[in-house]
Amino acid sequence: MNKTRRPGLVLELGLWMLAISILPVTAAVGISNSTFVKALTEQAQERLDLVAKDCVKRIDAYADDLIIDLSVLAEEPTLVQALENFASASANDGFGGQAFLDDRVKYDGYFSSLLSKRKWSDVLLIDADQRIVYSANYSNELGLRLDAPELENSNLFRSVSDANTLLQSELSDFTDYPFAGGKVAFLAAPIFKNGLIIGDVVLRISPDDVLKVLNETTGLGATGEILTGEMRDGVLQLATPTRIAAQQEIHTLDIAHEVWPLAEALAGREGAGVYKDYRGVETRAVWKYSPALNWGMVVKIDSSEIYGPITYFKTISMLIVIVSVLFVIFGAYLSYRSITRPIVTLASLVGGLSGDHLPERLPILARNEIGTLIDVFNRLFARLRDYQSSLETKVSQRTQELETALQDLQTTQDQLIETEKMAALGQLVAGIAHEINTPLGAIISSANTIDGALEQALRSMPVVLGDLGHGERARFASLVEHLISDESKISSLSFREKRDVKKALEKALSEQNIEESSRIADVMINLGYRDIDAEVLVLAQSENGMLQFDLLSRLSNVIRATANISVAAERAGKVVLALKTFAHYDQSGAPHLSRLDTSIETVLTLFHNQIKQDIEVRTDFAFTDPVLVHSDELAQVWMNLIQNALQAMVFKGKLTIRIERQGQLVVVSIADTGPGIAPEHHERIFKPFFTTKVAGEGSGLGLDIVRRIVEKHNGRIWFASEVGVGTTFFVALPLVEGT
Amino acid sequence: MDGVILCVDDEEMILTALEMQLDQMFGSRFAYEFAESAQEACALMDQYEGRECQIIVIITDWLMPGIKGDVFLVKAHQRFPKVVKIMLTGQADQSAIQNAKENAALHRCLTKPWLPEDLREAIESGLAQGRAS
Repeated sequence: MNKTRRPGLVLELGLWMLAISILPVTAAVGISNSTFVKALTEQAQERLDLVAKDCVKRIDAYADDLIIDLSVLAEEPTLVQALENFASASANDGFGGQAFLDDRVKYDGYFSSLLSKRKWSDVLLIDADQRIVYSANYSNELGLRLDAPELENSNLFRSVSDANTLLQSELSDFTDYPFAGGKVAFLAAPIFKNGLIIGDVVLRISPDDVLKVLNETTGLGATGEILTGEMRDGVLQLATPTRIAAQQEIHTLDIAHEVWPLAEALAGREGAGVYKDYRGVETRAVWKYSPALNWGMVVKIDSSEIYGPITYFKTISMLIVIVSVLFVIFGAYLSYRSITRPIVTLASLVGGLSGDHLPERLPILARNEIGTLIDVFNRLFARLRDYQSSLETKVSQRTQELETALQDLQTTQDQLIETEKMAALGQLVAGIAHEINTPLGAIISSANTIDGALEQALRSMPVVLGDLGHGERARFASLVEHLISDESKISSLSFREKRDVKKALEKALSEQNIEESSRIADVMINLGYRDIDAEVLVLAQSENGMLQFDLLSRLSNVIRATANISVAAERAGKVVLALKTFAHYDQSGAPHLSRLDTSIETVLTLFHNQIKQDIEVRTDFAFTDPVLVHSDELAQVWMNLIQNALQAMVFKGKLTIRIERQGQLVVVSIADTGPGIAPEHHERIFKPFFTTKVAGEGSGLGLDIVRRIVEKHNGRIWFASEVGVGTTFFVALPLVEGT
Repeated sequence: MDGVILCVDDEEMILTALEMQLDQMFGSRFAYEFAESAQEACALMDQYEGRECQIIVIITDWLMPGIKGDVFLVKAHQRFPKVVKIMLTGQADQSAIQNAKENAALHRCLTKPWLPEDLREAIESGLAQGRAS
């Protein structure tokens, strides 16, 4: 199923199995094949040799037997007698005469027993006159002379003449013989009587007899064949019919190649080899010369037959190979089923596993170790699933916990932000208490003063005024006039200056011998006098001058106290307003047009008592247009940055605040002359809960909140700081269209 | 004249109020000096050194630029241990009050806003205590 996806293992295993199974088979086949070929060749050669030798031997033996039989026959008295009888009878009465017929009757039995015994075709008797006087088979040549035209060129003639001249019997060639209807050979032997040749006995041999010998093809198999050849009139001709191509008349053969072993044999050489015969078929042959017949002889078997077993063997081998391959394929299939497929399936299943989905169980496809492996995997998966499900449960649990924690954290953060705000406020409140209590103290004290002063003034007024003479009344009026004049209302002198003025006045009064100079000097200062005055001197020297001064002093106190109350009330009002502005939370959540400088001023007011100590504040508000902002949130930004600056400087130094426009931005910069921010803190300065302040001074959320607020305004906050020089925070806010 | 009452506060309105209130309370029984900072007060104290007329009461604010009230009182106490020291403050650190009590023999700590009677009582009782000892 996954064969196409993962052919590697399957292919590899199959190929290996093929190689392993086929290699030995082919090796065995190859080795046995060559051995077999060699053995077969040798065996065939041996057989051919044997057959050839046997053949030659038999032919020779046959020929020898014939010659011996003939020579024995030629000396047999019966035969000699028969020849004489036939010769004389035929000579006297002719071949049809009684004497001749009697002789035939007399000798036919003898001759027919010879023929049947010896398997000769015919026995001819030839008299001294070269006439054929007897034929055992009553052939038609009876009575013919050997030199008759029919016999002149026949082997019969040659054999007889050779026998008579050379006194040697030799089997003639097989040639056509008119009286035999086919090829025949002759063997002649002279018959002697009293040392004279009285005629000849001739055996007519049918080639069948020789062929019987030659066709004794035992051991030559189906295609084995013996070819014989002789030279006739200088032409190589087959002496005997062929076995295979018996029907064909093959007389003349191309010596060049088809029958060259025959020519070799005729040349008297013997040998063995492979050659293509007249059919063009490859054969293995042995050739020999047969001296008895003067024939060349080739014994051959078709190579195909010799190597037939090999072909069979090869076929069997091929079958074995094919069967092996089939077995291998089957084996491969079996191993694929039982080993590879499970492995591949397992591999692909395991490979395709995702964390989200584990299979219920892998199908077990094998009962072997792989089955065990898959079983192990299944158990593993089961455990994994368990883990997974428990993990999922755990994860969801943890997630819920985390969500809760996050919610808590958010709540905590909100609370912290609020806390931070309240902490900042708390720090302020301490200052604010002072800020409010101070004017309040002044107010209450001054009110109390008014109360007492007015009471005393009202009590003394009738007495003082009633005692005034005409001139005195005018002087008093002018002094009152002085009292209510602007310059006296709020003393423009500082206490230090007042002290100096008083000292000078006191001295001047003392010089005039005026008692209570200190008191009069005080009154004079409160009335607005800075120098000695003639009228005052007159009054001081007058009788009820001190009463008048007292009254004027009470009245002056009432005026001054009232003024002081105004100043104090104004201060208190300012603080309360700043506080109210700062604490104000814009419920609508929508930005509104607000002036940044006002906002910053408000914050500065809140910090008044911290600033006034040793801080030199420089404000440069070049841009005062209203900007669309969340002013209450921005107030927190200024508050935080200013407070940081003040704390950094330990309330001593220079605080420079600028508002300027830079393109489409309004940039607020708040610079202190503190110690600067250590470079290692630069990265973390805006991180929540980062603080370098001592515990209680800050939560570390300040700048985080500031950053959030600025970012909420699509603004940017950054800082430049140099250790030992100071830090400047910059807040850039975009100027929204239409603002 | 019994002596000088020295008032120290960075707020002019307080000094002004005190000036009138003390005048109303004690009139010419005492002389009054007003300083807008501890430094200025110290300078004044230097001026009074060796004079016949002595500073007998110091009324000081706590939260002031530069030197804080308690520190100033401790300094003053080292030079004039007998001076009645009164703190009149809108807001003071408890540790600062503790410091003044321990190291400056702080007589009273009044909070702003204060009642005239309380101020009078503080001065009178302080002076009475001084006379008794």
